[in-house]
Amino acid sequence: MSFSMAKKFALQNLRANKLLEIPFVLSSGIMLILFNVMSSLVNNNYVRTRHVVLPTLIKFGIVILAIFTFIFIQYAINFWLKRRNKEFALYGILGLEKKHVGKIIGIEFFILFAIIWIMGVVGGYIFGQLCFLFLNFLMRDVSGRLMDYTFSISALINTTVLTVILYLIVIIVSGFRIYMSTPMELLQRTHKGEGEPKSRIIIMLAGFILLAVGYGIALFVGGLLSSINYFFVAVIATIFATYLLYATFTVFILKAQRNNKSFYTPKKFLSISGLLYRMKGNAISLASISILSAGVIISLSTTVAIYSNYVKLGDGIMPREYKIEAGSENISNEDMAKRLQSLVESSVPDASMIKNEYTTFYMTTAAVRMGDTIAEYQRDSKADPIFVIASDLDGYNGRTHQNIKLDDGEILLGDNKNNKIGDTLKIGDRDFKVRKIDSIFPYEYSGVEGYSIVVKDMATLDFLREALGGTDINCSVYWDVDGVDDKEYEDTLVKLKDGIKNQLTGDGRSVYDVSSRSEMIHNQYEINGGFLFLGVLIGVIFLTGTVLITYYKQISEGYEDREKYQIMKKLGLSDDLIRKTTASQIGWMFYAPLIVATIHCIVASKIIFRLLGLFGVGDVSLYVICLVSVIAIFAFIYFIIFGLTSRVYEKIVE
Amino acid sequence: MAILECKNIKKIYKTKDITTEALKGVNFSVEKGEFISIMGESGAGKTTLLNIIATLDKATSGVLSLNGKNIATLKSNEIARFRRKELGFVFQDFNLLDQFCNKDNIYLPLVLSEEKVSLMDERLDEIKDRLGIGELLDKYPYEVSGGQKQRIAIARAVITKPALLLADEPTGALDSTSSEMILNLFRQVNEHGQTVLMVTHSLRAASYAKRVLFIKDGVVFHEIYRGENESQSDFMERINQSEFMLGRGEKI
Repeated sequence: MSFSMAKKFALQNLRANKLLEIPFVLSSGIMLILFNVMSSLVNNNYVRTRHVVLPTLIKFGIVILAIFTFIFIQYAINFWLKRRNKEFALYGILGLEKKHVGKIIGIEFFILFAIIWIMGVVGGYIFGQLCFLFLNFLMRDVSGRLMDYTFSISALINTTVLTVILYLIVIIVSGFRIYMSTPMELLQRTHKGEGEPKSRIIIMLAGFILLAVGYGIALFVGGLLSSINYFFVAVIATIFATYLLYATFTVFILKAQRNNKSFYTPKKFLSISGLLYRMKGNAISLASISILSAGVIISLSTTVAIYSNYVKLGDGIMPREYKIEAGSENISNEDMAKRLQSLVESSVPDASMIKNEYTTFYMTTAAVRMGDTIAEYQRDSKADPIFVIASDLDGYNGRTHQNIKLDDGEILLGDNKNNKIGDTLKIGDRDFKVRKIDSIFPYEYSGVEGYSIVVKDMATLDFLREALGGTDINCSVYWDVDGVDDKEYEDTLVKLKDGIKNQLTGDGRSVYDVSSRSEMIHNQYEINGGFLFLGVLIGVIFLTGTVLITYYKQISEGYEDREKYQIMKKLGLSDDLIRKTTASQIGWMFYAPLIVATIHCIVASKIIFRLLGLFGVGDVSLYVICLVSVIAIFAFIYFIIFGLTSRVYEKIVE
Repeated sequence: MAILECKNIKKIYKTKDITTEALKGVNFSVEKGEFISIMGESGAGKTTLLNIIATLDKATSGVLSLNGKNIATLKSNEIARFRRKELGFVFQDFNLLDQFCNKDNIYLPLVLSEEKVSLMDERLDEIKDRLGIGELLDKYPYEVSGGQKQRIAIARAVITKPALLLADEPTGALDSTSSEMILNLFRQVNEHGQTVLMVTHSLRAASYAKRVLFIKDGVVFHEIYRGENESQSDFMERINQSEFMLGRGEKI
């Protein structure tokens, strides 16, 4: 058969099978679009520069999405091929050689995949643009701009490679099928059901082992820096476990239910056998929905947590509305404090407008902790560094409006991580008696172990600085202000700041800084709002995938079930019962992925919380609130999607 | 007492421009315990008639009473129940569901009627040896042959003890050996008191009945009874003759 002849056949077929192809092309194309957008995020400036682990996380997302696209397209193609077996059989009967049929299919799929590829590339670009425009607009006040969406060559390459691989696999699989079977076998296959799945104990065990590995890593592996790699392993193991267990464990449960006496009541009888019968196909779609749902929940809850943590941070980082700060100069600490205080006073017409003012001296340093000892951090030290901020008691009292007194050799200690130091702390050759206080450690450092130490006097502060090799002692003054216009006052402060700079150009070394809480919060929004953006974007990608699979599943199964219900109607099945059965079957399909996704997320929450530490989130309750509310919102959205798609299913069946 | 009574049943199909009269007034009745075959060529209206009797379709006019009940008075939600309780079906293409094992396929109508499992088991025990399906119960429809499938389908049809067993070309998809066996089963079921109405165009199949109705052009054209001592082959010969005459359009 010549190529042009085969092409004619192929085009003819494409036209004839429009109804089957449109949903296939659309849904596969959308999957590819999502993959493309995700791929292109790696090259996004924000992702590249904002945080070291972001590109890795995104790459990881790409791998997961590639797996899904692959599984989904295989699933869709299987359905499609099954429907066309009859046609292939007819070709054989009419005298076409198998290789001719293979050629025709090759051309058909080539055209289909070309369309899908173009959709993925062009659609991906448009969809990405729109997403960015829309999200930038939506979050113009709360989020930093995630740069613009640019055309990404690597995304193009990724998408193309994925399409080519998919194409080759489809050709090989369908070709193999046609070569291996006679026309009659093909004919029968159109109507043949999948048959009852066997109980595959070994695969089920493998599933459980993988799940144990995934969950085990998520729950028991410690260490912050190694978390990311372990996290990947855990996720991959859990994904495969989910697929395997859906394919086997559900069969196990359903069969157990079938052996139950109550199986012989109409609703259970129809729905359990219906579920069992198609568990192979169901397993794939249910597992995909579960994992995609977990993806939506995790990406949204983490980014929301990161984001709201930074918003909260505004308070933590700045105990007062304004701050002026200076590094050491060749003047005494007292003089420095006086100089700063007078600068603050000069900013307002009347000194009484300054409220809650306090002055504090502090030094910061990296150190190492061994038990109850903190020592200087050496470059070749093997232990992870910890972070120490030491400040004076007067400043602490001023900050917290208290009047704490310390004896010699007594310190106040606050830490940002679960109390690892006991009643005494050894620094250098001195043992300090420890009084615990709530952490005043800045949130932004909550990724590392950090201690805030408050010492009795400047001499002790100096001692700590010597012993730990800390920075010079800095001085800062914090204050609130009353009775001035915020805008005007900020202008005044800017002038003040510029004034100091001009005044002190000669001294070189010194660092002055004036900052305000609102400015700080604004900066945090600018820098970290991108996380929210990213989370919402990835959430949208996963959610679209979920919708797509749910929809495809309902449609394709609706057509298969129609015949079945027609037969049962003849045997006296009432419409009412059909509705009840489909409702319970659909209920299973609804709750199973939601429950599995929730369990996954809960188990993963520990390791994810640790990962969040890398982004400065240290507050468990914050994360729990984010997680719970995201799950609730997601369940609601999913419920709506499911309601809509199952209505489509019911329409087809009836 | 008549189990089934058809009075002047008409069925008219209307499309935009064309009106087709599939049944032009069918009259006949079926007594309890009868085994009746309805014969006729393709397009004679056999299937239409059967669908109407099966309550799967509605007659345009006429009265159809089953077990003393006028079908037309049934509400749509009662029809499913009625079909389940009073009618048994055997189809040409079996219509077994692959999702159930054979046993569950047989139980399906009883399950739909929410019967007790003990009753289902009891009923199945009564019939399984007669139908020779003991070995097949745990298998699935796609694992057994056509003849075996049809036996399962018959079991499914009779397990509800219906007033009337309807069979639509039950041997249409079977080879001759299987056909023979299935027809013998019908006869046997009938001898156990089951009323059977079978639609077929096979002479051999029809000859198993006690009475044969011939349908042509939408009316019952002719009917013949099997004589008390008449051999099956003689009866078959008579059916053949009748059909031949019918084909030539002669009144017999």
